Amino acid sequence: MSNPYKTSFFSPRRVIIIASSTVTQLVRMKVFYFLAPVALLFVGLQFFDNLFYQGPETMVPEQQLRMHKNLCLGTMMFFTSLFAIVFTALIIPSDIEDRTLYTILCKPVPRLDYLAGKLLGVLSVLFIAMLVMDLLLVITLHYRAATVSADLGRYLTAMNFSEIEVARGQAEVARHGPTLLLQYGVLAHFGKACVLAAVALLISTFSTSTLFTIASGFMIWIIGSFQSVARDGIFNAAEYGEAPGLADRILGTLISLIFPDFQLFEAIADASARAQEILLDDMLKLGGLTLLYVGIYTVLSWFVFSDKEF
Amino acid sequence: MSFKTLRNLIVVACGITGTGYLRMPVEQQLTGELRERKAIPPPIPLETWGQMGQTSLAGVLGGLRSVMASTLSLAAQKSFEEKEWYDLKKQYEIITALDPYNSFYWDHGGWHLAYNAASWARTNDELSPIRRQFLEREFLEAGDAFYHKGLTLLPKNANLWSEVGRLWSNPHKRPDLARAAEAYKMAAKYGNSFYKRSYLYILARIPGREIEALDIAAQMLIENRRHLSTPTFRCLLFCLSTNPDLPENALKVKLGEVFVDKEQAYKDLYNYRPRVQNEGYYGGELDKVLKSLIEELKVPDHLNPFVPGSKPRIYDHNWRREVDQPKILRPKTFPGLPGQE
Repeated sequence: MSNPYKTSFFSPRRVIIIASSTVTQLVRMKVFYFLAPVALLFVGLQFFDNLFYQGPETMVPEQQLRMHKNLCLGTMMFFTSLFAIVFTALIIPSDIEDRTLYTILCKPVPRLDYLAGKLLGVLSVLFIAMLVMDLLLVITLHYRAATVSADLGRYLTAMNFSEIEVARGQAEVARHGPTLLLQYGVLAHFGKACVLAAVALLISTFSTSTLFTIASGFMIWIIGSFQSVARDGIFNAAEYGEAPGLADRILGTLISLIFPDFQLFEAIADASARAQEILLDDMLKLGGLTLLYVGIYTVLSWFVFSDKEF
Repeated sequence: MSFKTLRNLIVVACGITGTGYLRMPVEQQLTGELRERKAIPPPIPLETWGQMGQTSLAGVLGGLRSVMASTLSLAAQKSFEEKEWYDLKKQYEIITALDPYNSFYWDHGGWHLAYNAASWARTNDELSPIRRQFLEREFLEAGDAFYHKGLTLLPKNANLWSEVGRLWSNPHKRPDLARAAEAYKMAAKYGNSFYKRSYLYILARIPGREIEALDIAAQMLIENRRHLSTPTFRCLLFCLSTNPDLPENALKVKLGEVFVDKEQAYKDLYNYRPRVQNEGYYGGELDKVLKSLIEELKVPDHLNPFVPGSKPRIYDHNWRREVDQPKILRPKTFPGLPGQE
């Protein structure tokens, strides 16, 4: 006969409960206040134009939209990556400090559930923040694209362009508006934030200081942006001239193996801001990589955390 | 370090490198695919790293390449205002290294060098005439090189090609129409009808390429008859088809096929004539046609281009009034000067 009091190895319900309490904990830390200046920035960008151009005949109307998207997506990436590291780095020490951790762990809650719940809570907060910023981006970009498209239509008609050419010009502007492609960019930034949060979780399980976790998280963020350069050196030595020496190859291999590659996330977000084609297949591969990163970092965090004494 | 910590570190290191070994080929393959489709920009050149300031470096390190490019392009405005041309060139080199697939930066960098810097050099009284010429030439070529550098990455960008064409056909620079025609040809290949018209206009200014120009005009007309709504196109098509050297099978249009009526033909051709005289557009039998129209329409002297003192341009809304109430042209007198009434 099975023991009704036996605790299951992993329970999604427990994870969700811990995640919701983490969301409450972070909301009480007033983390969403940063959305106010972000909203102001996004709306303010509506009135911000390129300072100069040669004249209407050479104007590149989509450049205004590109700049809008670049700045908005960049802001979204910066804040989500920053908060992914800081929130995760704060969350376990904060539980220890206010003794919530002891209350949770003295109950039959497996440590994997606790860690997964904490990570899910942080990711939920980041997701909500991302959603609000995305909504702001879509609204502001929609209005800006409509204005730019109308201006272009008037100009091309006045210049005697055929209706087909006017429609083609306006379609080009519409490609730079709020499209599914843009959402791919937002998703790529969210994926990057998820990986950073998982990295910070892993570090915080063996680190004794919040500051160390945050600093290490930032270092991994920076190295991750350049990890692909090291990997390229191993795979495509000839492309960059002289083949690297043994020491360079070992170092390159170690960097590529240890650090996550953030360039892929950034490249997809940049390509979406340029309205360049991104395939669903690319997004699926990126999603798979994100899950792999988050999964392995969470499992390793659990391994370190499983026999940690408090 | 305790045994437990060491064990944890070894397990974590093995776990990370093990998954790294699995994911590395997938990441490399995806990077290769994205790079092939130009979604991933080429690596930043080593010399550009050295030129970057701390802020840009921090931004780039954080993965904000295109954002940094946007903000640096705004900051470059300061160098333009202060006429620090070499700084400006350096800034645009950084900007284009950060966001190489954005044609706007190539366009602007080239424009600053070929137009603003070159004009500054030409009109700078503080420099000796030789130095002025040398500097102007240097900036013009630097602008052209900048455009071409962008075109190696964006070879199908019609706007960048047309900028090269515009540069070498600008009468205030050092026009090289053959060079401009080559650039406009590429712009016409990848761009819309505006660029095709530009290509036609340049060809019509190069002596010896008039037949080629007429072929282009005929082809454009087949593609879209709306080109006829552009006065220069109308005049050019008509003048090119009056070329006595045209082969038998070439398109030869009559006045009535191009212009709505004779009055419209006269107004357009009258306005086109200065372009023939000043910019080298093809004239063909323009003067002969204008003279016959003057007789036929009984055009007053002040609207006759062969009479000194005639108006520089005829406007549609003034035409009827000016023909019905003709002014008498008199030579200008200056009271008080000896020998004048």
